[in-house]
Amino acid sequence: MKKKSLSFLIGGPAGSGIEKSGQLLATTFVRGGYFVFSNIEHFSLIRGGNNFLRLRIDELPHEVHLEEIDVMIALDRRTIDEHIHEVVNGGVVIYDNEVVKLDDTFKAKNGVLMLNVPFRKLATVDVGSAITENVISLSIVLGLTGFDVVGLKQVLSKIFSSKGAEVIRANEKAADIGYEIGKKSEKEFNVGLEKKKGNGNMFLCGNDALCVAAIKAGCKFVGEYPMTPSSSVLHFMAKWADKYGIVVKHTEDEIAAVNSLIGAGFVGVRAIAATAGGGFALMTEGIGLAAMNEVPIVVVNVMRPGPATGLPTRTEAADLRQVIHAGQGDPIKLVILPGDPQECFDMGFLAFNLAEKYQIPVIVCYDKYLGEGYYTVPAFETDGLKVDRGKVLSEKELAKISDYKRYLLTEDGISPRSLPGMRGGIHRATSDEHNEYGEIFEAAENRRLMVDKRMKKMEAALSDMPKPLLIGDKNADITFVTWCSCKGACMEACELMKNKKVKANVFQIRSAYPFHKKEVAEMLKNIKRPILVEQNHDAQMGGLITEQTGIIISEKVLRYDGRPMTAKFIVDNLKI
Amino acid sequence: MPTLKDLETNDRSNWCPGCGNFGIQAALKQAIINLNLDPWNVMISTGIGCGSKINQWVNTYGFAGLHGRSLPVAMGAKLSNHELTVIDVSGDGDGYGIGIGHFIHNARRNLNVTYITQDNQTYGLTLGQVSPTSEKGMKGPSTPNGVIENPVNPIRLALSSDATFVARGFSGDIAHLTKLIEDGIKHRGFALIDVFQPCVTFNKVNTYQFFRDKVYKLEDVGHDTSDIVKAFDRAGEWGSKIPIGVFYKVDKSVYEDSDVGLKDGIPRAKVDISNIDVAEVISSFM
Repeated sequence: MKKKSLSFLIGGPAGSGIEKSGQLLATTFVRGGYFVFSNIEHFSLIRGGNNFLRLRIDELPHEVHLEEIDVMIALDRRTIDEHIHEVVNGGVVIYDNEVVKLDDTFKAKNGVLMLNVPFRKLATVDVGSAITENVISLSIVLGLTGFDVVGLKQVLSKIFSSKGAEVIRANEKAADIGYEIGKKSEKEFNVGLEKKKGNGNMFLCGNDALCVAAIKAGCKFVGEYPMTPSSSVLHFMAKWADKYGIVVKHTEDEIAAVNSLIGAGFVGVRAIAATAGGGFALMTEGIGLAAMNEVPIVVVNVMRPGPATGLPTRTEAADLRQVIHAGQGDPIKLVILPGDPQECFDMGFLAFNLAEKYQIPVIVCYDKYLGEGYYTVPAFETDGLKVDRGKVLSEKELAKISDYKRYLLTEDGISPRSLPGMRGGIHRATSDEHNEYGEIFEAAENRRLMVDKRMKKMEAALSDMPKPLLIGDKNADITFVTWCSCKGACMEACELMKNKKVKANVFQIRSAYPFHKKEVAEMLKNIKRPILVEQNHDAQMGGLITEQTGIIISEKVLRYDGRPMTAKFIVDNLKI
Repeated sequence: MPTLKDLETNDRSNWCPGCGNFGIQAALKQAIINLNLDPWNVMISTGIGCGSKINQWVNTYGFAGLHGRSLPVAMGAKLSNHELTVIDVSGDGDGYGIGIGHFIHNARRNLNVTYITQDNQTYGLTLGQVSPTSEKGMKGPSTPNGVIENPVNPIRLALSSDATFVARGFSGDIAHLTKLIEDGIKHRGFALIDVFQPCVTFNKVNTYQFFRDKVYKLEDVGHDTSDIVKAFDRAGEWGSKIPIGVFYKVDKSVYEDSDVGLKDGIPRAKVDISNIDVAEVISSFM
């Protein structure tokens, strides 16, 4: 019987190419018409340790991994020891005993096929290229599942197109060798995957999606300092800098990064920096500067467990308070919270428009699981997207203004802006409190007016902020209230709850500041039994909801062990 | 050509009478006039300190940011619109204390900006503490027993950080300083102009008279500005004779020349972003 979904785990020491293997296999299945979700769990080191990548291949889209494993590729003994209990009855473990060295101490699990293949020897002797070892192991999987090997070969020749015919030939040979081996065991592993028609979906991570949005939105300046799990934004933008004419600067630190964005924003260039909590802390003063001088910038915080270094390569969503309250004084910034790659794209694009429309720093905040997790999503629709530069004056318009005031007091707090280089628009932007001209001015009445001006922009921006979303059946017995990637686990938990005859749905909060208090309050009043699902100790979103609406949600499922939220975790921790 | 009046703002400067910053402001304005720069094509980036208020009183585009962070703002602005003349005016606390990292990094990347540092060897705005360039032994409210550290030598630091124009002026000699600022702006690359700027209120050691007695001009002694070793030697002189003028100057490509994002030569601020085609990026995920 053909299966409709499979769950893979590829594990081994850091530096053994797990990520690349996973990409190859995933891309092959995505091109073959499947939805693949992939997440990697790694230690913060370059060599050794035990890293593993999970792939979930399904006919339907999912945004969370499964804890059960159908196929394991083990590149070391530790992977087998630590994960064999997760392999299902009828599952298979593919390994090279020359490398893994299972001895008498190893007890096989009943119903699990142990497939020992000397892929290291095959790669060096039969193919003549040691690095094709991983391709052999992957193509065994294709043989086992009855999937054909053509798709993998296409992916290989695309990836290695710049490396020459010899490299492609070696990899194709490796693919054939592995495939034949897998094919022989296909009958023992009687859960082949049906071959489907490709549907043009993309396989990408949340950070990638955000980058596509940035490029589409016309971002031309990146000032960033590497920090896991945000660095792929810097790498991605650097990779495309040439093609799209983007200045990508790896700065000396995050303080330089945020201040360089402000310089770019001041002269009229859309600019972005991504970071994680520690780097965001260093950017805090600069975010306040952008707020005070009314400069558009976009800062992304990809959350990882803190405080301090914390768990650098793991996931958590505990920076909600940090991003809202970053900086002294009343918070003047917009904080948006995507929960999947489509939202990273939509809200990433929106972030640039809002930054310029409201002349304000915009923070996009999501967790590592989304930032570095790979999802299968339909190709982004870009036709309807409109770049909104906000109130930027032209020299012609400036010529008609005899007394230009950069910080003119207006109804909505937004003042038409001029850019350096424009005749007639000369002004000073000043981090001190200033008057309408931008001159330092300490008068009490002026201070009150200027504080009000900046806060008015926040009020005006609320209508443009992503609204909370009710996902699933409207009439549910329980509602998971959540934000960021936890949404995926919650949606899956709704499915599991069906087995318990409980109707569940998800209420996703997508803006943190300003907060849609009216919509959230109204929705919560109609919810029978809300349950907070968050990846932090204090239920930070729950706290924010209470602060903004007065509503207390007492039931909670919280995970803060650095591991991603799963549907199973939610269901296991529910008191139902 | 802009006139002095064009460069005046509505606001009146509030430095102490006799402040060394007046000389810097006068020289900066005169340099802009002499170079015939359109004020709307000039951006002055400053940090925090008495001297940073300079852009309140020079009528060009100005950005007054955070303490020590004027250079990153200048960098973002320059790389986003390299047709602007970007001048960064910093102080010894700003630029050699909290912001010293940005100084070194922008020197080594040869950012095409002019970096004027108002070096009064004291913290004026916070009421007279010592600064990174205060001489050993100098007393202030944070160091009642005198400084026990060696001062930063900004000229040597700039030289060893590969700055391509390294000079020092004295705000008591406005004509000489004007020429230095002009040359610094004309220079393609990172131009440091460290300026002795007496703080008449808090620094009772490094006064106008102190500098008048000691400064001599490098050009008067036939200093070779292409010789980095001699420049390094001269930069070590302190005591009865202190050099001002250009220590070192070299032509090298600037950062924006080599950045792939700018290879078409068009300032990013002038690129049409209304409808960018991302089909190629999207298909790379398939």
